[in-house]
Amino acid sequence: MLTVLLRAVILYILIIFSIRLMGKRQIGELQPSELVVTILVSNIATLPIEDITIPMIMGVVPILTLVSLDVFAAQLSLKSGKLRRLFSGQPKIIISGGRIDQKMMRSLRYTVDDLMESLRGCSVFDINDVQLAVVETTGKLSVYQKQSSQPATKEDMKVKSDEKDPPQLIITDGEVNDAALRSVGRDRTWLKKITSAAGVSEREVFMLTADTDGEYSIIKKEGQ
Amino acid sequence: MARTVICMVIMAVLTAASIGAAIYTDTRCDELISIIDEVISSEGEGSQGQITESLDSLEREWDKSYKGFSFIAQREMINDISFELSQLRERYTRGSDDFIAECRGVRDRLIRLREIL
Repeated sequence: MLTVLLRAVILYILIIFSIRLMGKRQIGELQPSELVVTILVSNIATLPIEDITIPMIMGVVPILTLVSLDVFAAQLSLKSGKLRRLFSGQPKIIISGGRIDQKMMRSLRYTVDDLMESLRGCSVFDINDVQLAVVETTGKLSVYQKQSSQPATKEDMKVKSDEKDPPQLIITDGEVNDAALRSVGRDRTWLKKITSAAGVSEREVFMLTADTDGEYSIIKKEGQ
Repeated sequence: MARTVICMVIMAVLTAASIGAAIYTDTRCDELISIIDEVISSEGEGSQGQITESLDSLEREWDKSYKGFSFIAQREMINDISFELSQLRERYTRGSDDFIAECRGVRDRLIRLREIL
């Protein structure tokens, strides 16, 4: 029992390390090669956890090998377009100029239901609003709507606006994020000043956001 | 780039460890097989003192190898070899007819272990 517990803990740490090593994309949308590695890793990891007669090394070696190969493949793909296409395929256009490419849909085995479901996922409920739709290598649909169906922007309305980064989360549950503080061009002294002005210490702040203009918003912890 | 370097290090370590494990298994199995061969030939010659000495040596060498094997081989497989080895002395003392057959069985298992790893 204790052995199984320890094996599970070790493999959990190893898989977290492996997924981190594979990069952020692994957590979100998977490329075909990454999907294969993820499926294999999850299967391989369960064997030495369940069966204590299998040495741990038999789980560790294939997991690390697969992850390393995936990283190498990704690195090679960065350098060669041909390899990238080989490992990940190419995005395919299924709607162009507002017209559905039925031949392409058949070759992708993409049904009308799949198309409508993906469009709804992009907040498009009328196919007539679509100018261009691309099935990405991850299988996700990217949609460009017709100009007439796109919401009006400030530019369309000739409204002047400042271009600036959105506010950053500076304090979360009393914990200061120094990197975020630096990214808005402020320091601890400024932080102390604004929290004192609000009548709280940093530890008593539930959430504090600030932007590069020095505009901030503080939410105090409740029940303190 | 850091990821690629980490993976290169991992692959280098895994390759070195795999080669090391293969060499270890090969050497240890060869050693054990040669002792079993000694036991078999001594039995043919009827040299009782030599057989006892070889059996002692076989048990000693197996005890030394067991820990190493347990990291790389399936537990069931090495436990089977352990069990069969523990039976050898008793069979020999009893003058069992299948003592040599049992020795050959252990030898085959060691060959299989070497081939798998």
